[in-house]
Amino acid sequence: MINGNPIVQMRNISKGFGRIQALDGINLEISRGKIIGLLGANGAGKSTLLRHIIGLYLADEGQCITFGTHAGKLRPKELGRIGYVHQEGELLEWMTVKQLVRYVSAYYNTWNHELEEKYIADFDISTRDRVSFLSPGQRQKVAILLAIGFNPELLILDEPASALDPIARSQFLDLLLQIIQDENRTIIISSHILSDVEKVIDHTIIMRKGRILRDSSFDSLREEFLKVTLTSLNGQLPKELPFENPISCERSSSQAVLTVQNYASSDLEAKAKEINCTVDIKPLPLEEIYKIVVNLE
Amino acid sequence: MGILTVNLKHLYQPRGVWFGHLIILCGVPIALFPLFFTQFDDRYLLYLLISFWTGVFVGNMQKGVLTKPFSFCLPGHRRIPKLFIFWIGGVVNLILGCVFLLYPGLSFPYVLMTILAGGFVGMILYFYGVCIPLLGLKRLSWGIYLLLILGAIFFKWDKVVQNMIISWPIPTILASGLVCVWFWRLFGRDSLARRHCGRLVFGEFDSSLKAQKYRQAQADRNLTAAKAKFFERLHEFFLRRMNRYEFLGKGRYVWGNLYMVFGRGFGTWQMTDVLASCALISFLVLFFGFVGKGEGVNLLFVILALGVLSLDLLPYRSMLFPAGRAEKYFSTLVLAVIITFLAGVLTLALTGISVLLETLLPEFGLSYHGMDIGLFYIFLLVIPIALSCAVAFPRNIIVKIIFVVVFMQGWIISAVVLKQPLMDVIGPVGVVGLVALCWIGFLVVLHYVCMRRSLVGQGR
Repeated sequence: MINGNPIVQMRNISKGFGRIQALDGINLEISRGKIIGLLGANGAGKSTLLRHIIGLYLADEGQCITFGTHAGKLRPKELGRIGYVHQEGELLEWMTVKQLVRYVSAYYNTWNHELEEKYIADFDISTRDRVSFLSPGQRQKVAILLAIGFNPELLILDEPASALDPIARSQFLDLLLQIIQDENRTIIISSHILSDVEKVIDHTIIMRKGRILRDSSFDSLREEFLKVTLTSLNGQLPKELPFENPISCERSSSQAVLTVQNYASSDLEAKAKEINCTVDIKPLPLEEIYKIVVNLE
Repeated sequence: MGILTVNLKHLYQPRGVWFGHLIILCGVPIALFPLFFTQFDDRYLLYLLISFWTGVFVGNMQKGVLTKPFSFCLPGHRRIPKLFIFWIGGVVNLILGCVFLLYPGLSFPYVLMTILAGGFVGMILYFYGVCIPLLGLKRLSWGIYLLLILGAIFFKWDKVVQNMIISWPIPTILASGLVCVWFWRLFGRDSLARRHCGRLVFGEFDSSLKAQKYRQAQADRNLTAAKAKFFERLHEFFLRRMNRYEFLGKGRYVWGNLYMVFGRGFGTWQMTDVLASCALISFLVLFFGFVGKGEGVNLLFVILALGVLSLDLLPYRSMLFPAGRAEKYFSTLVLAVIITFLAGVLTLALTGISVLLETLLPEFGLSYHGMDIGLFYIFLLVIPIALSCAVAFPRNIIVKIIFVVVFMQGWIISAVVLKQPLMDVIGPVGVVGLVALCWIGFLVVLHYVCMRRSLVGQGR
């Protein structure tokens, strides 16, 4: 659970497609001013969850409230506060980029023309090209522009950077950090490129088979799982190390590298001292944490 | 599992393929039917046509396979389409050749030769069918196909072939066998695989989404400065209309939605499409005008109304605009009314033209009948049913085709049973009630789709 004033509330949401249970009893609250990383393997239910928030899907059971309104009954007033980059990459193919931007901007009185110009220049988008001529990366850049151009309060990004090159990805992450400067903004980002996501997110939701395995702040997740390197000061490590149920342990005669859960740094240092070792404690990268969380279940 | 075995899965895995099987299987009883009445006198053409259509079917299937880059890169895969084509063709034509078992007076060993000869001749037509999609010979080949049909009707060349098979089976086998060897070499060329590898191709069994992409790519290739200017003007027109309404209001979204739907149509517009549509409509008006004593031509009211099935009334669902489900419902309803109006104007115009043709065309054994304006209510009755199907199954081409076939059959059967126009049976009030009921049905379907159904992805 996230504390604060929630803009999205999901209560016991279940959704099935035939025999596939895409979402299974999801309870979730999303409050303002966060960048939330939604992680999970293909088919985990990430896109389905995001589509419930904007009412593209309706739950079989439970309810989803977005901006205080039932997601299935969202009106232009609420939808005008939500930006969405979707996985399908569907755009109006026959238009030029310039026409498409003008068309979408015509819906919003909050359209930020300065941001549009800056984005087009920074991301090197050719506005004269027809959308159907664009490469997948260019399409994704245009889709992102259309989603952020009207300064939405809630920005939902479903695999937004998968087709971007490394430089564009880096620019995109910087852009997200700029957007979140406004405390009123919330970003939900679903991505498989965890090394990118971890640079910007402050909250993590990990999903598997339609269920939420973890819903916690990224900091607490990083504190929960630690990588510990023990080096013996007198040549040999004892046969039994004083850590209960380490997640993994690789050791030689004088050094051991362990992954542990729910240990405070001070405890680890004390235990290392007991066995006459130096200790190096590092947080795990998000990718490692993700693998552990998924495998623990 | 061998590569060929994997490839053979194309015969049952795509759902669209089953529809192809059904069509080919339907041809078999049609071909067998005359045998019970005409003592094998004529219409061997029908067997050749089954071979031909099987070839088109298989050629399309293999074209789809060859467009996938793996089929070019995977070791040993480039030869597989050739094997696939020959295996299917061999089996199908051998079975079709067995029709000579029914030919009277052929002794046992001799009949085997005729079966083989029949099979080999069938293979030539089958390969010809394969070539149309696989070598991209569409225009030329369909022209030759038409000549073959006309040649069979007027000069009975199929009868000549049939006599040749029965009288000289061994020379027929040898000659056809040589042609088959040539095709074997042709389908095994690397250039064939190279030509298709990685290309955007629309096959008969692909989704409508891919069809849209394919049409867009074709339109892009034919983009001229004049067209680009036209799109710009279209864009300005709709944007001006949108800007007349307040932000986040219904009016702005309704115009925006009209632009999305009609813009997509115009965006993939090509002169060949327009000419083909004009040619098809002209053919239908002329052809049905000569069928029966005026009953045939009035089927056009049904056919023109069913034309709206090709439309997707709720496109671009995954793009998020500030419009909720209620706005989508309202704007689609407006769109349906506009489409009905435009299609209605077209129908009335064609009715006028056909009435004019009735007075102008001279009688030459057959007489032309114009459409009866008094039956226009049929159009109003059918169009909400077609719109309901278009909304409920926007991207399912197979369901739409089945719907058209079943609906047309039902309509014709009910017309035969009733023996008089619907208006005479249930009266004007009944007709008005029925039309209202159909429109209420459309509203219910539209409301369900917009308000209750998943708008994107799997649940759509």
